This record gives sequence, structure tokens and C-alpha cells, in this order.
Amino acid sequence: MVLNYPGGLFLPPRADERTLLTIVSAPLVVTAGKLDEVYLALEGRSDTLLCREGDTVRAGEAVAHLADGTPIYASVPGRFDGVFENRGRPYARVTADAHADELPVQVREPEKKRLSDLSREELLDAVRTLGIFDVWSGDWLWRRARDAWKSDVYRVVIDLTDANGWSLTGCRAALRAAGDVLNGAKVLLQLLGATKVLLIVDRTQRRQAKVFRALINDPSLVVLGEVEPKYPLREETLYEAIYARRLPRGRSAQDEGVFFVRAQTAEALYQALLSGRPQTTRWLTAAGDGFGTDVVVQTPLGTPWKRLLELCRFKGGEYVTKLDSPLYGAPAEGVLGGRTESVLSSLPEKRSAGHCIACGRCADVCPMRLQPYRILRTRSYRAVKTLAAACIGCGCCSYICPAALPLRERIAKHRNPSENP
Amino acid sequence: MFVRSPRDKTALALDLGIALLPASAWAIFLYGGRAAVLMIFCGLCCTILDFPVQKWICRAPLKDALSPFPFLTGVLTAFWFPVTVPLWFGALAALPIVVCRAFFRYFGHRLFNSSIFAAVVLSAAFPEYMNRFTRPFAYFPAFTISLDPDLVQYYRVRTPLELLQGGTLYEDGMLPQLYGYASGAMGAVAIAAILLGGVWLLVRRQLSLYSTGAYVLVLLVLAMAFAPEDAEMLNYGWLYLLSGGISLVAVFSLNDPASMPRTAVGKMLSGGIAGILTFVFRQYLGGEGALPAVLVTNLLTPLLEYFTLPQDYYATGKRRKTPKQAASAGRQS
Repeated sequence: MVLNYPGGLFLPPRADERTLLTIVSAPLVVTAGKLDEVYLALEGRSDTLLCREGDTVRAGEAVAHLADGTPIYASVPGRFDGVFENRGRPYARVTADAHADELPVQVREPEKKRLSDLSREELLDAVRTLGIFDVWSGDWLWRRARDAWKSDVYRVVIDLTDANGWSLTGCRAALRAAGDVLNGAKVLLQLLGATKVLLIVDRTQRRQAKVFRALINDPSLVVLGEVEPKYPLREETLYEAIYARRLPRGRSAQDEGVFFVRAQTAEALYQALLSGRPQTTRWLTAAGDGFGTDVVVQTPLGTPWKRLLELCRFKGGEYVTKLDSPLYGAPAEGVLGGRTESVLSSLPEKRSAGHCIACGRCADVCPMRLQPYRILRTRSYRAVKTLAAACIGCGCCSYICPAALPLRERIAKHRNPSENP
Repeated sequence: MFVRSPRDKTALALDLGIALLPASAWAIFLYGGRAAVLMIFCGLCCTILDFPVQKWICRAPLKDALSPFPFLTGVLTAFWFPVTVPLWFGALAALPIVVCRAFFRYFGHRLFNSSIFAAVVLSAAFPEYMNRFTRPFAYFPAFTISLDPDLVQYYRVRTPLELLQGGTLYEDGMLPQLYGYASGAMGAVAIAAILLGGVWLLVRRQLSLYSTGAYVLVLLVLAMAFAPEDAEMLNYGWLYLLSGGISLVAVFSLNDPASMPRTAVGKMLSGGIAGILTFVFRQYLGGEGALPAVLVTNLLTPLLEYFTLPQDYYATGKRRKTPKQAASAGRQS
């Protein structure tokens, strides 16, 4: 059997790792230990299965093709167990067996090429074949890149704010990733035909900015920007933080020529092209009081949450988990996938609501520039509907309210009376 | 929903209390135990009167009715008194404060800043008591309800503000005014102590430099522009800022969230308007012009909000349409 991956890439070497180690010292990193099983998300009936039930698969071997040819790779070595359905969505199950990787296999050495010699089409094909997942959109990167070709993208923005930023640079073992993020960004430039990469770092993360300043060796291509975005970190808020103007109504950042990517996607892209092996893992940050200590995990795709929480030493009991956002994130259930990059935990809040003191803090923090306190006071049906329609449900108002008023819940009720958060 | 900011109402009240500490400590050092008794009595009266109103008229939950804010408002109001006022002033001040706190709270704003409102009401009702300023370190008996008018008259001195309005300057110059060795209202004399509290509020993000800065700048510019011909311009400007209760207004009253605009532009506008009005009132009405100036600015707040609040993001897009515009937009579509 011959595994044939495209790829092989040559880019200038990274900065000396030892100089970076003087800047960064930091939390624990674990790689996912022995997993029992993984569930790989499929899309529907038109998918083509490449294995039969009971077949042995290696990590990085395709188990299925989606309708448009996107390959689905096994993220752990083991036995293909067939397709299971959960909440109306099909998943391919692979039961782990460490010995599966020891089967004899002949790997064709990828041919090393210079990045500048590759055409856009060749790169797009490589991105598709290597199964690079775009965490920003929760879709495959090649699909999004293909869409981006239609609009003139001139700027690639690598988002290092929030949890994904420090999971990739805040810890020793993941430090290597910081250099890969930069190289991945250059590949994205070539893929999208953009002119410049902008790395955005949270203004409060001085250490992280320092790491990247030391790493950037080509300032004509890569620029580092420190921003102060409003929570939640979405396309609208980040765009406004960078360009100091709002996105025009009804248009996405991509329509305006700005392509947002999470740092870990750029890192995975470069790693995959360099090694010629498809992306089968993802960085995950676990933080909060419910975990013994904050951890950064490089975890196989499709890992069940139950197993992941065990791995991060989740205390359970009274502690509650939320995916990605402490305010509006969903509880950790099912399998790791989509846009999820972090899991947070804390104790449930028991404070009861008081009276509004008219401090206006909710209006200060609202990323959509609404006035959440209006929901308490206004008698105008239209004003309430307007407020409820524009609200994105981020929960900043409820978080900041000194009187502990459930503003988000009340607004949500007006948006959809049947909704009961 | 399970995550909330740890900074609840109590934390906000604690911040304000800490900010009031330096000025009150200085007032006690300068004017003795009577200052402490007045401040605490005023605070207690407010708390006692506020509780039943909030509990049974406003129907607030128990923990809201027991909030520490009325006590702090009472202390802040006592800052505006000279130390020679009778003790029953504390009970009298509680009335306008409670009225101000209880009314109009559901219209997005209070009508007035409660401590300023109380100070204005009292100085309008009892001008003779509110203007009996005595020299520092003249300690009066702490628990005597009304002081002997002759005794007060014996220690009576003119404050820097009165001197300024009389056409002369405070002789000891700028530094004693900054430290707080001049005479004046209890809490308003120690500019440095008030600024210390202001820095604490700034660190805790309860003080906005927009309103405070605009207020101070406008007053400085106006004072320098209209300085008497024989005075040195910059010196006169600084002395003007240090006189009376300008710093007290700039730090505490202009940063009251419940009676001031919320946006940066609104804060700047209200600070500027308050500055202009303070100057005008001082120039043409005499007395402490900052107090009525803040009241008028509070009245303008809903108007400022109307023009400065951002519009809802994607839903409306533009400013409120007039009926005519709306009709024409409908015809086009």
C-alpha cells in the first residue's frame, strides 16, 4: 500500500528557538494520551466510504470522501467501526488500537518545492487533499479559499487574540508553532493572492507580541498589530478594532478584501505541507477553576468531550463547562469539532438580581453599540424589537451588570418568545 | 448564564467610599470632631429615611433597600456644608436626597445628582447658615446642636472664592489652597485629598476624563480669558480652579453615572456645558456657581443622550427618521 500525499515545501529557517525560550516560560502542555475512540464528522448520504467495517486504518489514512472530494482522515490508528448517527448527523467511528500504526507501509517521499513555484490551483488542491480545517468558519479551508477567490482579498489577518493565541505561544512545547504560524501565513498569501499578512495580538498580551516581534524577519510581508477588541471576538468586532470603522451593512470582512484566519489553522497548514501528512489534530485550551491547572492539549480531531475533559483533569461536580465563551458557550457535549478551540469551566452563579442603578455599563460594553438597559425601561414595542433584533446574545451586559440583572435573557425572550434560555 | 463580573453594587459603593476617605479625613483634621459628626449624622439620616421609601414605595428588594449608596450620598452632601451649620442640617439634607433617589429612576436617569440637589436646596433655603465659613483649626464643640452666632462671627474669615469675587486674590497663594489650609466648605477645601480620591476612581474606571477634563479645561480657558486686567492670567486661572467646590464637582458630581450622559461625546459636551454655566453663574449670580450649573447640566442630560447615543447597530442603521423621510423611503422601495 502506498500513501500518496502532495506537499513538501521549502521556506527560510525559523528564528533561534533558544532566544525565544528566554521570553516565554509557561503552562503545562499535554498531548492527548491513549484514546478509546474518535468520531469523525461526515456530511450525508452522498459521502463515499473508502473502508469497510472492521478494516484497520493508520492515523492519517482516509476513511471517506465527502461529496465534493474532501477526504476525511482517521485521526488515531485503529479499526474502522462504520457510520453512526448522533442528533441527525453521521459520524465515522474509529476504535483506537496503537498497533495499527505498526503495519508495513511504504510512504512516497514528497518532492520538495519552493513556495513561489507553486500555482494557486496546486496549493488549493494540496489544502483540500491534506484536509486542513478552518477553525474561524468551522468549515474546510479549501472551500473558504475557493470562495475568497471570487472577492479580491488583499489582506490576510491571522487572529491571535483570545485563547488560541496563548495556546500557541504561551507554552514551551507549542513555541515551535509560533514560527509555523508565520510560515503558514505566507502560504495563505500565495493561496489567496493577497499582499500582506497582519498578525493581531491582544494589547494586554505583551509576551506574545514579544515572541512574534522576535520571529518576524520579513516586515514587508508580515506586520504585527496590537489591538484592543471588544468581546466577543467576532468578525465585526475585530474588523472594527483593526480598521477603526464598521463593516458595511450586510457585508462580510471577506467581501471587503480581508481574510480572517485563526492562528492554529495557519500553523496546521504549514505543518501539513512541510511533512506531507494531513491534519489530524487540533490545539485546545482548557482553563478555569474547574480544571486542576490550565492546560493546552494537542488533541486528535473527533475526540469525545467526555474523554477530553478527563484528560484535562476536570473536577466535575458543581463546576460547569462552556465551549469557547464563558458567557454564551454551549456545554461540552458530543465530540470536538467545528469552531471550538477552548473549554472553560467555573462555578454556577448564584447571585440574585437587584434593581437597575442606571450606571450605563451595559451600554459601554455592548459590542453592537446597543443600550441593553432599555429592555427594562422602555414601553415602546418597536424599540424593544429593534434592540432584540440587533442583539447577538454575547452576554457582555449580563456579565458587567453590578445589579446582576439577567439582561441577555430578557432580550432573548423578546427576540423569540418561545426561546427560554 | 453562570459568569458574572465580581464588581457588583457593593464593590462600586466601596470604591466610592474609599475615594471619599482622604477628603473626609482632611476635613476632620482641619475642623475637628464636629465635621465627623456632621458627615456621619447626615449619612445615617439618609440611610434611615431612604430605607422605607425604597422598601415600601419603590418596592425594591431588601438588599437593594439596604444599599450603602444613601450613606455615601449623605457624606458627600455634608462635604458642601461649612462646619458651623447646625446638626439638624443633616436630617434636613436627607429629605431632598431621598426624593431625588426615589423619583424618575425608571426613565433611564435620575433627574438630578442627589447630593448637589440637596446642597442647592439647603443653600437656597438657608443662605445665612451655608455661608458662615470659619478659619481652619478653629475646633467647635462636636455635639452642640446650634453654635453661638457671636462665636462663629469671631472666627469668620473670607474664603478664596469670596475674595476672588470681591476682586482680590487669596494672599497665601496656590499651594495652601491645594493642600487645604484655606477656609471653605468641609470637603471642598482639600483639593489634593479630593484629587487623591479622583485618582482612585480613575484607576477603578469610575471616573471619566472626558467630562472632568472638559469641565476643567473650559473653566481654565474662560477664567484666563476673562481675568481682571491687573491679574496675571495663568495664575488667576489656577486660583480660579482651586477656589470653591470646582474640584469636588469635577471629581464626584460629573462622574455620577445616574445623572450624566453615557457616551464619550456626551460626557465631553456635558462637562463643557457645566464649565460654561459655572463661570456664568459665578460671574453674574455670585456665590458657588458650580452647584446650580451641575443641576442645569443634569436637566440637559436626556437631550444630550438623544443626540449622542449611538443608534442600534444593524437594525436601524441611520438616525431616527422623520415621518416625511420614512414616507419617501417607503415610496422608493
